[in-house]
Amino acid sequence: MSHTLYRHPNLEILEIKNDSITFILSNTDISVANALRRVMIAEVPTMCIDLVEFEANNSVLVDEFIAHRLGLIPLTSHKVDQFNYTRDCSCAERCDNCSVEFKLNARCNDHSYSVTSLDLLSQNDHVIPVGSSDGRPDTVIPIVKLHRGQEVKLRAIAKKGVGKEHAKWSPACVATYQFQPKIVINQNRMDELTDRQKEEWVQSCPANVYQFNAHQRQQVTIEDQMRCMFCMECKKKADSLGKPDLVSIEQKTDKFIFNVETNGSLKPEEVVLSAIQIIKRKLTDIQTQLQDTVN
Amino acid sequence: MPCIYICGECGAENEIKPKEPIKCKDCTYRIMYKKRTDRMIQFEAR
Amino acid sequence: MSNNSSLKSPYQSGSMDDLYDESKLTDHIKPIEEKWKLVPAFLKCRGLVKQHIDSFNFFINVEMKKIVKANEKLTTEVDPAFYAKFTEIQVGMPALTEENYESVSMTPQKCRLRDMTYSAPITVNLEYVRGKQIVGRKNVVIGRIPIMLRSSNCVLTNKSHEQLANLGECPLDPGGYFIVRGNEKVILNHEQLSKNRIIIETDAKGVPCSTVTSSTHERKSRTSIIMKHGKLYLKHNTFAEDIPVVIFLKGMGVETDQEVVQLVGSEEIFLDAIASSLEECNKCKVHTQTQALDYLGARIKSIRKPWGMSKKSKSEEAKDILAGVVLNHVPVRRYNFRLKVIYVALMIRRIIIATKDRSTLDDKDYYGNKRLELSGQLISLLFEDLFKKFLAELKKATDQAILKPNRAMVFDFASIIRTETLTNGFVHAISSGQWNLKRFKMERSGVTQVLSRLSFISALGMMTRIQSQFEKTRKISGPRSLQPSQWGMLCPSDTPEGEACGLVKNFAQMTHVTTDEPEGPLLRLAYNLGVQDILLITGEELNSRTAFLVFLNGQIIGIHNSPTLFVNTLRKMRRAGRIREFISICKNEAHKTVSIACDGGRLCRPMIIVENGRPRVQQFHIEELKDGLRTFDDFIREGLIEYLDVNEENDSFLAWNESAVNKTTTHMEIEPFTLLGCVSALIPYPHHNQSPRNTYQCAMGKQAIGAIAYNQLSRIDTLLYLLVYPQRPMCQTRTLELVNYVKLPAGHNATVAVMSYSGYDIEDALVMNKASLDRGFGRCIVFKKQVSAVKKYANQTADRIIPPNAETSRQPKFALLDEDGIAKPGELAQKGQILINKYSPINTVDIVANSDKIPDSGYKSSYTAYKYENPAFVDKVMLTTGDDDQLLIKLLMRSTRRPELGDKFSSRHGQKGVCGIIVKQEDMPFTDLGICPDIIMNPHGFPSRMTIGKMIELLAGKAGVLRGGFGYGTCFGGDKVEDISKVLISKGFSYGGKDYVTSGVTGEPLQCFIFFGPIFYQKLKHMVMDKMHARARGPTVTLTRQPTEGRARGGGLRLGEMERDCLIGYGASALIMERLMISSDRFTVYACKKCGFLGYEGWCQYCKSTLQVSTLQIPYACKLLFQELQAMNIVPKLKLEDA
Repeated sequence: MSHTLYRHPNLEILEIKNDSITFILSNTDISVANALRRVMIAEVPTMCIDLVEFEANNSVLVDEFIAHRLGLIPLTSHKVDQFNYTRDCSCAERCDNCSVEFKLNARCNDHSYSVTSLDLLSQNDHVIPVGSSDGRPDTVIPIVKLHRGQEVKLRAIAKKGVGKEHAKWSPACVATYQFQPKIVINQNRMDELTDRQKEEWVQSCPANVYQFNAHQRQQVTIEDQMRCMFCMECKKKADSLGKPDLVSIEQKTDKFIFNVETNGSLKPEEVVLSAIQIIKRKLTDIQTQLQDTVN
Repeated sequence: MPCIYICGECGAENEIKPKEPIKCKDCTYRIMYKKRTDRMIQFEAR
Repeated sequence: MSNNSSLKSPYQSGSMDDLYDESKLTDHIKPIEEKWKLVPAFLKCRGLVKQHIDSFNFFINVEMKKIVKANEKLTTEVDPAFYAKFTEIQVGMPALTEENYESVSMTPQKCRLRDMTYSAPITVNLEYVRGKQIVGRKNVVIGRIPIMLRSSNCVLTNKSHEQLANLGECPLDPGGYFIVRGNEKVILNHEQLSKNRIIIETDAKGVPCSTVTSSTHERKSRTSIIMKHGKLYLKHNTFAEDIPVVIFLKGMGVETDQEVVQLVGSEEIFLDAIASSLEECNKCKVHTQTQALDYLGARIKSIRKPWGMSKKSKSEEAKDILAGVVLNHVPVRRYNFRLKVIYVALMIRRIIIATKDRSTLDDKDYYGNKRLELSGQLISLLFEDLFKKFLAELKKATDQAILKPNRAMVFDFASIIRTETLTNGFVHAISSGQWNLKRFKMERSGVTQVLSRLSFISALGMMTRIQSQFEKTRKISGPRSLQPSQWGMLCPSDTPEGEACGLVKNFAQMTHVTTDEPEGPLLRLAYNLGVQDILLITGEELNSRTAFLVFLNGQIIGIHNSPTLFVNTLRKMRRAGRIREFISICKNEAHKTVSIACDGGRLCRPMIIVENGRPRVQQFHIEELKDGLRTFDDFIREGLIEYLDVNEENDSFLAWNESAVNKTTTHMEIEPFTLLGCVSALIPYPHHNQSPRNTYQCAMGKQAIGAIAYNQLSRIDTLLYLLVYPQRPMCQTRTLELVNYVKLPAGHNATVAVMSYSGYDIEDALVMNKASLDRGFGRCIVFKKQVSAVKKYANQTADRIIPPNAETSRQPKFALLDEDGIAKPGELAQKGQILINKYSPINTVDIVANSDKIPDSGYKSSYTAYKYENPAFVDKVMLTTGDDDQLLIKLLMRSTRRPELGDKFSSRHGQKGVCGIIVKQEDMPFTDLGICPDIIMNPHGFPSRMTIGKMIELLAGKAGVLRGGFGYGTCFGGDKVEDISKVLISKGFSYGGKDYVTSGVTGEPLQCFIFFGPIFYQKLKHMVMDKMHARARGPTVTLTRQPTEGRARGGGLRLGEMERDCLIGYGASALIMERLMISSDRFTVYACKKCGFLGYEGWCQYCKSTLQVSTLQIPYACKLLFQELQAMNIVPKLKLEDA
């Protein structure tokens, strides 16, 4: 088929929400789709707390524990491109170009106090804990609970990084694609079945992909093929009915329904765009290297 | 070289010299803990 | 009740026909819903750890008083007028007297931290003669006794959770152990053959014999009647040879052969069997009691008595032995041997029956014949021994004081009381586990063990442990195998593998162990219910057809002619609460006996009473229980539930649930899952697993890292592992909630994909997701303790701790030290850095005038350094004064570890595995929803292990996740796979738990569906970091000059015997030489060719010459052997040949 040889990848956005995006990538190969998925998980840079310096901590959680929890707090990283990786930065140890400093100073004087991401004060307004800007109590992230007299005082340094190094830098909570199913019902075979058998066969699908209404049209139709989870129960049922070729289910290998959810550090579309950008940059790098060596 | 210790019961700070008995001046509790270091301790958040 | 009118309940229709219509009796009993609620109600008042506490309480409140009452008076031969009397013994509450004599209440947590003993004073009221008058003193302290936690004298009893928290104690801690010198010690339960019962077994030749171990407060002895060449003999320690049984009987006054025969049984078989024994007696010319006693007297093992006590004649001595030593548990009053005669006759009768019918042999492994010795009993033995020792010491001191010629003051008995005997006796016995009691010739070691605090469940599991008296090394299968009578009493799964297999057992969830109860009331009741007194019965009546012998605790008390009526009446009285609930009554048709038991140490458990095919517990009872209107004891009181011991269980018909109830049923299980112990209750769906897998999990569940107690962070243990984010299992069991495992869990709910991946997953290795590890999966905190005591010495010197001086403070070794010479919390310690800079005086013997004036050179350094390879943070530094007023410094070192290659993990189905590879998240397979597994498990783990429970756990867990609730995998119950599948389907998943998965590496869908869902995984304590070891060169042992052994000493890697065998087989002699000598302890020796001795530097000291000396290389150990042999006058000589 000629159109598979000369084709242009196509992207169709189905839905964009605050923290998730669903789109269809078509006219391309599995390798491209998977590359995009892998880059979104592992290589899209964000900002995350990487170093924690404790001055005081007499809470119930030990220092490393709190440090680990701080590291896992997603930080808004829309301006992540303005930062350098610390290893690439020209500064000696660290500077404002490659890091953001946070201060946490909490002390409990009442019965108990919950230290949350709201207590984590950033020195850069662009890099703050996710969910702390609106200050809603359901979006803040708890860090540690303090009892009377307990205190946590620390300085945390956020750095730019990628999910490859540590999962905390990965902006994507979910980055997955599904194959679109291609379900073909052999209507001739279907007509050989009794209404009761048709009903049974339709019922065999746990995801209710098929529809059969004996009173209206005598036909079995596909209600929503996207519901199919390739469990092949209908195939098994067809086999048991003695009609192995009743239905064929295949995956379309050139159409991918992507679903990306983020942890809030980046917008979902930013994640996708950034991933594409990264792939592009990698290719450009190869291109320039090749050109350099050839010339 | 006296050092400050924290009482395990009432949390009061006690200064105890060497050879002195370990005993809280406020509550006579006999278990003391040392205070945390003043030095900054750095951790990797991983 | 029933909504089907044709199946009306018999309670609704009054007619008798309805009641006795068989078909209506058996079918349709509505299952009682939520019957399991009885289990927590039971656990509230009894069960699991409560046995320890009950037995200890019994000791403190009852037994102790009895012991003192039996030994209350102290008299002396020196002064007949003197006496001292101990009354009103009491144990106070744990308290501590500090050096300023103020009494402070003790809490267990204080004792743990300060390395002290959690003990309470024992006080008595004293009455004694002082001079000419009798004086009384109240509440005299005679010693201190360690107090069991949560016992009646513990500060923790009847405290609310909040109060417990204020005392620094974990509310979920079960108690039942002691704290001795800061260590938590458990006295294990011991299982032994029951005392004072006739056991018929076969001897080495296969001939039946009958044995009784008699045990009373005074004496322990063992009597057997054996059969040799068809004749019967009595075997006992006090007699030098076996005594013909008839002579023995004649010695007790049964002089005629006719009476002997009548006592044993006048039927043909008994006559035939005993005839030759009678004949032998005749041959020995023993016809009268006097002759018999002379015969016996001549055969007493002569024990030389130091001072002429044996004024009695031999035959009188024999009579005393018959009365008081042989079968000493059968009482003989004023030489009335009647009871003992009947007892011996019964033993003979049983042997004869057993020779004819082997099925009447007793089973030693049968749990009705076993008694458990609990901590209370063991402590009681110890106390009795110590108290007698205490009295003996007091007597000695009294004698000395009275005999003292001219004493200035009147002798005051109270002033010579020393508390050390009792206090130290208890502390020493419990902390060392050695029970050396002179009186019973008891020398047991390993009675106590340190409570394992590896995880909450390991501590709990230790409290329910039972140790058998059998030797571990013996390769016998009988006592090790699962006994049918163990059902419901002991856990069928929880036993270790290997040498202790089947000898160490655990209680089931509903087991209770009885304590001693008085016999008197029962005896009276039995006579009132028509038991004919045994002393009034002739031999002929004894063995008549209708008569059933009635036993009370192994003692014959009489006969009864209508045993069924007797048994039923007694049981009715028990259900009505007229006699105690733990009294067991059972009838044995084969032996024609009725046994009543009220002794301690019997295993028993509650059962629902079934009458006329209907369980007495009804649905409304359970509803009342749920509403808090009823407790478990109410069920007992109203006769709905009763306790059955193993013997009575054997006389009952038990149904395992409502559907199994038929007209003959007498009892029904409360919940069948209670047959498991608390450790095996961790396993979801254990009834779907192959049984050894459950046993493996029982061993591994105790090694799982998790939360150990609510006060875990304020404890300072030698080694403590904690999980950073412990999770409650998605698929849990009812018991898991009852034992509070859900509050102190040990593991994570890992999303598992059962598939092959990468080849690094063979042999049970697991593939782990790096992102999961990043996010805290399997992360654990390790705490290690370092202690140092600042000692004070007898010569007024003391250890001292010194801060680093200007010179040393610059060295990294001293970097952690603070101004007081101790490391500060929060700092990171590297290997070799000093934590406590302690110096000890060199001279601790000679008295020093002023200890401050000792120069620095008079001290040697005895610092505590951080000795491990991996750095750790100082978490806590605790200073306190210990038991002996010395400064005690405890440092807690902390390190956090994330899982690495080779760390051990296990699911709850005996499926352990190590982490084989850590894979990046993007390489992990993912489902349509974008879920990546935390763990990939190789499917080859399933076929041979047959752990179907694990598969169902996954399904139940997955359904639980989707539904937003917990799955239940309770044994013999739990969620059904069918229901789980329905949930899965309704949430858009495949009913079988399989998902459509895409490869993360290629992006292509996998060829098959993957079994995918949450399984609870435990991280086990075995971590690579603690085990990793390699060495090229290193330390050697001084004695042999061979490399040291073990990781801790930087030891070498051993080329063992089997490896050596391989090399020999291969013929690699040079390699063997290299490994075993050159790389180990090569040594050059000078040997003399002429005399064969070892010389020195080319000189042979024996020959006084250098001529024949040659050098050779041998292992140093070999040279050492030669010299050691020489030292014991064996002359090894070397014969040298030219090669």
